[in-house]
Amino acid sequence: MNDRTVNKLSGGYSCQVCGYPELQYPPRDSDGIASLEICPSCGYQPGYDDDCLGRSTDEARALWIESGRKWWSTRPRPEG
Amino acid sequence: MTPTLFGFLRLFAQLGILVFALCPSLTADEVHLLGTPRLEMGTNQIVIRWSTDQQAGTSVLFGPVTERPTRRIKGKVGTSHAVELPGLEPGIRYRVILGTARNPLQTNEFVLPSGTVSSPTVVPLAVIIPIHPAATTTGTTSNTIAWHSDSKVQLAKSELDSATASVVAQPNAPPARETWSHPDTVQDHFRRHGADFHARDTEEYAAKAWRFRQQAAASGFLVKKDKKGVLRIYDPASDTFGAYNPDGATRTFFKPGKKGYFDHQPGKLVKLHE
Repeated sequence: MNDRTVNKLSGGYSCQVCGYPELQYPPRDSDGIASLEICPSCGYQPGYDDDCLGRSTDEARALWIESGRKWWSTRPRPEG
Repeated sequence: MTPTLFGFLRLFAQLGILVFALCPSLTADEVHLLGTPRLEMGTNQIVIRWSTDQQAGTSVLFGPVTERPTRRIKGKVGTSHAVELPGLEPGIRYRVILGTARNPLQTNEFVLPSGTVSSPTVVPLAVIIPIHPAATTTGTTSNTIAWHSDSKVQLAKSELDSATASVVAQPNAPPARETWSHPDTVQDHFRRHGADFHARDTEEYAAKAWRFRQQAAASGFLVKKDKKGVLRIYDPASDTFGAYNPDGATRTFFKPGKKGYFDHQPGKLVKLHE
């Protein structure tokens, strides 16, 4: 998936791990700078999970799928 | 006087003596704190000293603020009291209740600084400011003592003389909805990183992040500013990292736990002004 895709329907950015389309910032911008934003869908945080914990997006995706693609945040899951 | 009445009066007198024996505090003068307790800081321990207006026992009940205090240390009877609290962890906020053997006199909170206290002996004191009673019910305190990670403590308004170290009273942080970049996301960051700071809830977590930003200039934390004006601040002593938008709002706050993390952060090193 294109990390820098702007979802024109939601106006947000897509998560590199799960594809959640409503992030406030691009996970990595054109200079490769991490957003540090936590994806509410899978909980992945660019700039922390990768740079601190050494967990790649592929590894995070595998874990998220293995967990049943559960909504991660305590915030309500958006409808649709 | 009839035998029945005499017996009743004798029983009443005996009961009165029994009450007096069991509850001397009912008749004894109440013990009062004299002045303000003082605290001496070490690397992993503190000594609390206080005075009372009359002879009384010495007792301190303490523990992390995240749980009910259970550790009790007792001392001698007297008017000058001193208790050493050993085995403390830096960076953790503790609640301490000092008093007599029977009654609490004052409740305070403190945070032991991260890093080793450079002085080989106990560093001179700080003043414990009593917690505002209302604050404890909401889980936030308006007066908390904390120290910076090195032994050089900023002088602030203080009752101490120049021979003693003073402390910086932690400023009250605005609510998270005002300090966080996107208020609906702070709970996610608290969920992932709140435990690093022993934060009890999102408000406390956001407040710690806000204070970290406020302290950055005075504390000499490392600061980088990227092309978009985002500040990344790091304290090597406590391995604490915070990122802040150009308007000052917090983006995230955590402990990297990885050597060299800040070296690879984008932006140029800048110096913040107080």
